[in-house]
Amino acid sequence: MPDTSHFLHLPDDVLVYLLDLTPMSDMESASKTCKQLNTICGLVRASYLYELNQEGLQYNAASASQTVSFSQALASLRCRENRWRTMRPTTSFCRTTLNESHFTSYSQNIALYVSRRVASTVVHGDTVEHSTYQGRNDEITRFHASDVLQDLLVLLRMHIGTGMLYLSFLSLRGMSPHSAASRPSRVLLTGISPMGYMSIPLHAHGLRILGPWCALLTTDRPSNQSEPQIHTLLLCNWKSNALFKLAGIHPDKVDDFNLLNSRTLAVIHRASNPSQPILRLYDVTFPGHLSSSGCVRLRLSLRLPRIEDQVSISLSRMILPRVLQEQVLQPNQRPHEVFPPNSGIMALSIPLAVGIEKARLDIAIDVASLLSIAHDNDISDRTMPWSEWGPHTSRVFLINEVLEGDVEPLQDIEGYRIAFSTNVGCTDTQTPISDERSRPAAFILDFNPASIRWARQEEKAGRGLRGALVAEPSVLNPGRMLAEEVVSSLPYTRTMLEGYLPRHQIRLSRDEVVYPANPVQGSPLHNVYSFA
Amino acid sequence: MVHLVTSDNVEFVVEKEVVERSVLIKNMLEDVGESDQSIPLANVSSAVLRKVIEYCEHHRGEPLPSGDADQNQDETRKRTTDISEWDQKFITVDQEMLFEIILAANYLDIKSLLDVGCKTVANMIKGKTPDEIRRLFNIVNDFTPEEEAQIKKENEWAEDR
Repeated sequence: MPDTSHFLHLPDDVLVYLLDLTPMSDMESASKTCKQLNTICGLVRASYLYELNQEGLQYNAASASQTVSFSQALASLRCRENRWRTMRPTTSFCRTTLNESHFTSYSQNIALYVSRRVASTVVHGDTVEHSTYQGRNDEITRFHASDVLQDLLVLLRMHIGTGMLYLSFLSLRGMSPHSAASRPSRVLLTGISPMGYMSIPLHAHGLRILGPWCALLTTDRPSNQSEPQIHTLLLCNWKSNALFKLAGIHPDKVDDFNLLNSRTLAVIHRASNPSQPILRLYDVTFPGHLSSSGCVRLRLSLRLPRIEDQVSISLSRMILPRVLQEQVLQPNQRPHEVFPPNSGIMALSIPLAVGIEKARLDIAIDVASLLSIAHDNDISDRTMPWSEWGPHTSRVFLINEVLEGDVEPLQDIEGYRIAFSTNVGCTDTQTPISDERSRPAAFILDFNPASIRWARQEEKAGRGLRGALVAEPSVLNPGRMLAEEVVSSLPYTRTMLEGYLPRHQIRLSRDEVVYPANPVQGSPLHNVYSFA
Repeated sequence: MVHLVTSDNVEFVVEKEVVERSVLIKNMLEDVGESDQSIPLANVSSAVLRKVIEYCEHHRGEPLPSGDADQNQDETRKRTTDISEWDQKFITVDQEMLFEIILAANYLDIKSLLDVGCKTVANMIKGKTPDEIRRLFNIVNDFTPEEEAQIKKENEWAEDR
């Protein structure tokens, strides 16, 4: 046996190159043999540890991969973390069972799922990892509402004993499944910072995250029915944990709300006696560097189509175009916080019922036009009837309620596109469809002016379109549901999705739509329809 | 033909196409141009150069990895066990020769040969404990008892997490 080690006589750069090729666990063993190798292994490990640290993750030498080297782990970490940060999660308010239909599938098969029982579930390839957040150890809480922005999950939870609500902010970054540092089954929850209890029980209308702010619209239930309700907009900065209470919301009943941009709050109200939906736009000033207090001021009330008095209206919903685009990032780049663009389409969905007959009024509104109407209005507390603003900024669909189950008929919005499920043959009509020949179908409605121009050119040139171009204004006559004539004129193109299976969610991304469909060959779970 | 002279003064005459697998020699030839002058390789012995030329002869005609093919190289580097059958047989030598080949490949800048050598060493380490690695490479444990205790402690902490 030679008395010196030939191995250690290799120059350091060769040793670094060699150990860079060596699987992580073997390199950990090598680093424990002597000082020289310990130092060199430290060099090899350094860039990986730096990146882990940047992500707020910890390295666990005991679970180092036996097949992957540090340089590969670093590459995969960067790739997965970036994908993770730019993914758009599925949130759900009412689903309690976990099955594939609730997942959002992207090209890399990552999905986040939030339900009442399970705070969050991560699906990564074939492995399903989930983690329950039940609140503090000493209390029983109930999940109330949630929202996700990038890797921040906000849960509004209620303490069962007292009915108090509090917010939990969970950073999902530590949950990102990542091959090398932690065992795949282990999910880390970090950044739990309960805001503390609010002084009174609240009735909350969901919550929204906007940049560093989490907005919560709450109602103090008056003890006496005749007293007007008082709504409060709670703003919580999740970075500083500061909480602001803003008054100034109209006392009408609140159905849903959302922030159109950093200055405009949109709320669907329901005026009582007779019950009528109204869309109100408020100016919001966020507390900032200059002023420590914010304010909310009513800018404009927009009447939605008048509903017949005997029709009962259930909780309306508002869907805005998604805030976060899937950003294409360089390995060392972080996604930036995005406020919603002042463009695209927002959708309102108003469920109606007369006796056992159910219908739905879906309204697609051009966000840019809506904002310009609000901007041009200088009369405070003005109310505009539908005929004054609706016809040229929107498209109205009165649809027979046929799809049952927990899937929203208006499923997803991306920019100017809406994923929309209905029964074939009943769009734009008022006749209830009851015969068995009708079948569920899903459409992608595209309101993008550029798409419309293109479709017009194609039609003029006599080339066939994949879908249909609808440019004529539609007129809904007053009848069982509507109390006034409703004209709407926003042009759109309509594409039907082949083989769509109902009771499943559709997800849109910038270039494609993912939806569950009858398997064509083999058994693909999702169909992907490409817009290209 | 290219003339190479090793550290122990043995002259090798090799075809240009074969020897250009070495980026070092390729660059030298480009700098010098056509000439019959022999190239001295002061860091390589004749026994090692013979092996290196054997490798280059066998892989003659295969495309050279180019600088901009970084992604591809990462792909091929992926699995340490990925060594072709011929290479495996070729690299089955004693440790001293193995490290000499790695050194020569590094010096002559023959990336594919360096990878074969390094992967072979990685496979030798595979699944071994630090003690086994010390015995394998004749490494002297120069940690002080305190340092050793420290390393052990770090590991215990990691294991029960």
